[in-house]
Amino acid sequence: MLEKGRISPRQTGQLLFITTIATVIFIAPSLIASLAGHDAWLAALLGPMFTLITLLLITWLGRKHPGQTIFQYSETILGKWLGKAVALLYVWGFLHIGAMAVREFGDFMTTSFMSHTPISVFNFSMLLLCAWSVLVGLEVIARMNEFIIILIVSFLLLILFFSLPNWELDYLLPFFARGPLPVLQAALIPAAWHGNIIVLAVILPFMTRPTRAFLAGTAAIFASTTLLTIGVVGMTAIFGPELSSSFLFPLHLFAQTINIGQIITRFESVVMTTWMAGIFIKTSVFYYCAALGLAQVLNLKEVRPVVLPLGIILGTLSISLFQDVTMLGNFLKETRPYYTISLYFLGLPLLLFAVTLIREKIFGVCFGEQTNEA
Amino acid sequence: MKRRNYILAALLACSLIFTSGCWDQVEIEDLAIVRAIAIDYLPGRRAPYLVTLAIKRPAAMGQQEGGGGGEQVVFYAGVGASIALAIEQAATHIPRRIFLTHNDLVIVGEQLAKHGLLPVLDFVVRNPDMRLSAFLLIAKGTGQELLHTAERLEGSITEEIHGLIDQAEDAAETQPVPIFRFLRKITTPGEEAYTVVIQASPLPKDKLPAANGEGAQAGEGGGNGGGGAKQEKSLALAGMAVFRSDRLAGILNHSEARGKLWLAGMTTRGIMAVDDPVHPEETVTLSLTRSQTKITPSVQAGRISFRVEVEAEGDLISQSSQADLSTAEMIEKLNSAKAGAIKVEMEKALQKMRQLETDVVGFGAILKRREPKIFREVADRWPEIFVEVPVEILVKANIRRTGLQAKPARINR
Repeated sequence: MLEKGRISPRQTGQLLFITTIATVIFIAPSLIASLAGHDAWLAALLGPMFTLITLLLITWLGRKHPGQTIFQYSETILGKWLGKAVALLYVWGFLHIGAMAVREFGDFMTTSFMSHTPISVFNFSMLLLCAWSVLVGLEVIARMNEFIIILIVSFLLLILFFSLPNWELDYLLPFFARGPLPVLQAALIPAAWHGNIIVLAVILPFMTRPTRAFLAGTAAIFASTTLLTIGVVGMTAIFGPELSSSFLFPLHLFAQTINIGQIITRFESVVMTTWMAGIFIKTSVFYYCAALGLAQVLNLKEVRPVVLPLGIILGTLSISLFQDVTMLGNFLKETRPYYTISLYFLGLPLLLFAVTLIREKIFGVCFGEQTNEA
Repeated sequence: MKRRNYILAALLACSLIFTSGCWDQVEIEDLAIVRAIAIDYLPGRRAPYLVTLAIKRPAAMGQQEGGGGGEQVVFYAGVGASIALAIEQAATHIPRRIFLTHNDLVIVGEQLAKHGLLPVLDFVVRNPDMRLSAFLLIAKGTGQELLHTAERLEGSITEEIHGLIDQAEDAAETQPVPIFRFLRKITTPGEEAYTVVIQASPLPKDKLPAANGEGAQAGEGGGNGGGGAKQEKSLALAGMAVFRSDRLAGILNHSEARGKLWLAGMTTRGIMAVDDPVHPEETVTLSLTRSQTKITPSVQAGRISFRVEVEAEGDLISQSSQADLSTAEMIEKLNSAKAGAIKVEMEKALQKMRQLETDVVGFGAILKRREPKIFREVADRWPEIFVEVPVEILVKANIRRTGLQAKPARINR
């Protein structure tokens, strides 16, 4: 086994929660608002419901192939070469999403706080830390996350709470002003982030009780949807839909408006801390998934040899994927939802699901018993 | 194992070097902390933006024992084709690095407000150092002149302006507006933005023709602040600047501003005078404590109209006659007099808004919330339509208390 650690269902849920909320609440609100206007919060509420389908598929697949990650059972289902291709596709997907997260973080740091520092400093130092946590394994990441989740959730709630005096809920009206279609289109954006629970397909076999995977995933989705929706409601109530869609990092400006009696003010650094912690966990998880996937595809004995090369690839990707921040924004808004959902979050799981069904029902292959090695 | 720990500790200690940041390392001694920024527009020039920075004097920061010394500010100014360029030019005179994060006053001169606030707003949102909770003030005249007014009660002019804003947040007539709120209004369809006007006016002693005892002395005392001569004047938040898109459309005076706040349901506190119901030549002063405004749009056969219902509460705080106003009948009369006075204020404000063609109350936005389809048809022409839309105003006033005295005690004649 490449991973010796085991994580509890609660830790799994927490890990999935931070993996989604860490970036979605910092970047997505303005993208959602630019598509859905007043109804952004409806989109934020609806979007992640797509994700339940992904969750159903991967927990079903996980139950069919106990003890196997998505990289292993894609081989079991599709055969050696096709399976390895799908697994490599996933490795690339995890790398891509991880690199985007690092890039978002780097861009945030350079635009909002340290404009003279090159972005590579942030990206590589973040990745260095992530590489370390990947080396020590999933269990350590999960345990670390138990502490970080308190930090992130309490800080986010604090920011939302202190901004309450600035809220004007009138700006949320009217509902469905432009009809339901833009809302559905905008709902794809939060869905694209919540689809990150695809990492469950990798960490599921390392759960102490894999039967609780669905519960953990659902809890994570609902928790992060709730927090995201509150965030979007707050943003619309403070800035109005037109203004919020023009922002790059809405939560940062959101925190800037907090000013209670000149004393409770300047919360930007809290936002930065929160985001840094969140990105660290998110990147670690994706980095880990990519490393484990590559090791499993190549039938390695341990993860260690691929960590450093993948880290360098991640760092390079995070810088070279996008030329500038507008390109990043456009990609996140226009390409990413379709790309990730159609391929990683729904497309490939559906394919695996369909092939499993066909092989079982038509060809009478019985999955589950002969591959049970756990 | 132990040796490994030592190596690890040494490595961690080494990483301390980097925690201060390499590229963005800033020492507090190298910072010029900006406390207020005034932006003016000089028409007809190639570099029309004049930016004045009020920078906290570094020496004043250390000496706390000065006993109410507060802070002192020094002024620097620069001109440029854009705000950023003007600041860059000012920076060439400043021996420290300009640090805008602690700036929470953006004072815009009248000329620039008339020319358009877009460059200012863009600068504030885009620049990571500027804060959206900073207050936006429109200066009568130029912002630079305003900043050069001598401080009177506080240690510096920026502190003085801050104090005025803190006080005004409780008052009824003027409402200081943080930039994010201004931006929200300016971007919402069917709504126009407003903010407070700040004005330097002659001192109270100058208002009386023959009372110039210690004027010269006070004038000398104010001149030690730093750059340039300072004028002895007193500052006041004087009314409300209303905008049409990003351009200053006009200024509402005190009572019009309050009328606007009545319409928008934002009146907090204040006092107003009405005629005494028994002796009409005398006045009764009433306070305003609580109020509620409800605006309902209605559309009948394609005609849009609005109904504004105001409920105002308050106390009787003084009267100049001897009449007993504590009877139910008199209170009723006072109530209707107060309602009438409020209605007049609201109507005046509405009239001025129509005259300036700016919907600062946000009738359009309210219509949009209730009747999105109808608003969409008129959205492009809303300013013209707003001028014609009938608004019905209903005011209900209640006087709850009469202070510590129910009625005036009889005074011997």
